[in-house]
Amino acid sequence: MKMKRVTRLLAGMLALVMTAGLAACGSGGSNDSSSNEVAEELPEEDVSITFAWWGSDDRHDAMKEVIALYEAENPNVTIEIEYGAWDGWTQKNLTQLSGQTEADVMQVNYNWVHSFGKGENVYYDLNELSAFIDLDNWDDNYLEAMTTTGDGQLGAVPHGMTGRVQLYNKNVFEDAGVDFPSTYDELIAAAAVIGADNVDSGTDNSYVLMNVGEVSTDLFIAQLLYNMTGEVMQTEGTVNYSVDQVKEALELYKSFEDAGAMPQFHQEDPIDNESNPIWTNGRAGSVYEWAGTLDKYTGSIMEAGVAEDELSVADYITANADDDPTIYVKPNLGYAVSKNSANPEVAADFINFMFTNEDAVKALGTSLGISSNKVTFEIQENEGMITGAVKDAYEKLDEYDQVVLDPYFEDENVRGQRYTIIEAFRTGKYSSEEAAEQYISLQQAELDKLFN
Amino acid sequence: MNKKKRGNYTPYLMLAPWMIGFVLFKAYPIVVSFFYSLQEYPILGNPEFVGIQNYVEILTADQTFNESFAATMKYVLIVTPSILIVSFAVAFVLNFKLKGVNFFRTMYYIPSILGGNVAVSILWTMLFATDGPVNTIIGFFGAGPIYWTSDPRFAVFTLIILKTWQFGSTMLIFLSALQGVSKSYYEAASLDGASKLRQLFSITVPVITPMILFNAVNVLSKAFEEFNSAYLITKGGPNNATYFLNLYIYEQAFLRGNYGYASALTWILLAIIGILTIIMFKSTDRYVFYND
Repeated sequence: MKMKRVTRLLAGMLALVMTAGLAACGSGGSNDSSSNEVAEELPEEDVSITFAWWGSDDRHDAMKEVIALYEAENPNVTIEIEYGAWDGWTQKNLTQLSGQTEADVMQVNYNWVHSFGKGENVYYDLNELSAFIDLDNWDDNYLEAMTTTGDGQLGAVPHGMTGRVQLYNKNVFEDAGVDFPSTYDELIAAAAVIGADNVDSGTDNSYVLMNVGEVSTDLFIAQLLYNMTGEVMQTEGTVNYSVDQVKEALELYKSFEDAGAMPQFHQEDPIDNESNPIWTNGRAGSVYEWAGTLDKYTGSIMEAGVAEDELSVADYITANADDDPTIYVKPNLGYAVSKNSANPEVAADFINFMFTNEDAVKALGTSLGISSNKVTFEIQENEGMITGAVKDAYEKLDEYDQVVLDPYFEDENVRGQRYTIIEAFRTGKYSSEEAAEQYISLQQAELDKLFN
Repeated sequence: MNKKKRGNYTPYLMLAPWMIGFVLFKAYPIVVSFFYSLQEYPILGNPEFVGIQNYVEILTADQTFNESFAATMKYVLIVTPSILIVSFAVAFVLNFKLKGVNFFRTMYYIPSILGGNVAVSILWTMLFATDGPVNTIIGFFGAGPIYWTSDPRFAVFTLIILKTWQFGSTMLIFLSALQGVSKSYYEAASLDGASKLRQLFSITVPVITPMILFNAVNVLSKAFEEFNSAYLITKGGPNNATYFLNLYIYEQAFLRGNYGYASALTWILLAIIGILTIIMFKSTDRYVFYND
């Protein structure tokens, strides 16, 4: 009898624990920010918010300085921090959002705003917090890029726009006695000189240009396709290219590799960031990188002894010298507020502070690139902060018409398919024809899942 | 009377922490993942019941699953015997009364403690780089270089070598088993003129077959769980040659946000491990010697 009672007691305890577990583990992903009432003024009592960002060490230091400035100006606010490298940050943010444990203020990637909710906003609608963030400091088109198509909510405010540019190391070209190429033919001709001593194993090889990591390779091929066709990769869930067009672009890319202008798959170094030794050892003439974070690449090679004035941004390489390149741009990153934040007003005020406080803007420098926020940009310009390769990069982008990347271009499922196919083509698993067919069909299949 | 009453509760109270932990962190996720596997469940959206659609898609239309399954099986079927053979061989040698044997036992166990962490992965990446020490040694014999991590034919072997290097735990179990073999067997065999090799295969191996089975099941299931090395060293590539099922499950769930699909993959992985384990246990009558 006693045993039965004990068993029942234990069973009851377990049931309670399980029920609690069920409640705790529920995804509850449909929390609606509109249910939260926005206060009219900032709270005066002590509050604490969390701020999460990714980046490199220089950004971490700058962000901590901005936080200290805000806390000094708002002594009742404490800001807890979560930061780390980009690698794995998407998974971290996605998982936190799922478990509703995300930070109050989050640095977010452009595609997250659109992809995570498949067109519906998963962050706080910042339009509702416009009393605390001055949205007039952005042009409408910049805010539009961060507005979700399904519900028309403003998921985040962009820091700035960015596009890929060709950062080059003048030393490599001066030593070889060649100019930076402006056409595909010149690229191959330059490879014959710069890569004259290259060997198949890749040891100590030199290259005219290098795509660091699969992201860069993917974007370079996307740029080739855009240059060749005048069409962007996808619009409203449809891939815009034919098999023949993709095949031609892939074969062109392969011809650069075969000529030694850029490393073949097996010749690449596994370090796929600014510390890539081919770049830091001065064996790559150029890298194809985001204008907004060019500082990372100038910084790593300057640490290796290359002077700042030896680094600049080159012209885009096109089929013919008089062709205008076609340019993809996107918001480099944005700031969002959690739907679950207990203090969305403070979170919004902190974001506004980062963009409008002079000392905060100075602290951040151009570690995040040039801002599209009018106040931030004015401070960056007045303080002479826009210099060197970053300045060159944005001036280069401004020379041409720009198209904002489709937000689903960087959806993990969509670009994951491109990465797989490009790798299979580069390693010889697929012919150009097979790769082109799959490049289109597999991307389209993923887009169909998002749009249907 | 009071003492007796307290005594009745004690075992349950002692078990309660484990039971609660088991229910919360093992049983509940296992059960709920099965229900997730029957749903289209975007990580930030609302789940929708789709029956066995995820399973059908995985088994009939998912080329990545086929490649991931092939990579996983290749890895498991090579790494399991590799670890068993290496760990048994080292345990056999370390079972002799050699000078400084305890030092060597410790040294061989250290890689197991290190595991597949980030530092070891960096070390491995450097060792197996195109211009790294391994290729330098191969070069002395006029061969290579081998593109260890970027050639789809070799990438999986780079990870197999890493896993095999971490044979310490298995070795310790073999060592304790070897020390449990009665010396009288060897004495009798010596009197009958059996060679050392004959003694190894006719006495040592048969007597420790229960431990071989135990190690084999352990290594097999852990090999199926492999994640770190593929994530850190090869990122699943090239051409999905090291895209093990665990990595695929992780990316489906936490990078691509497809909880339902990832759950279905998990159950398929569970079924594969279960089938192989059953086969191993069912076949024990033929080769496992229980001294009872």
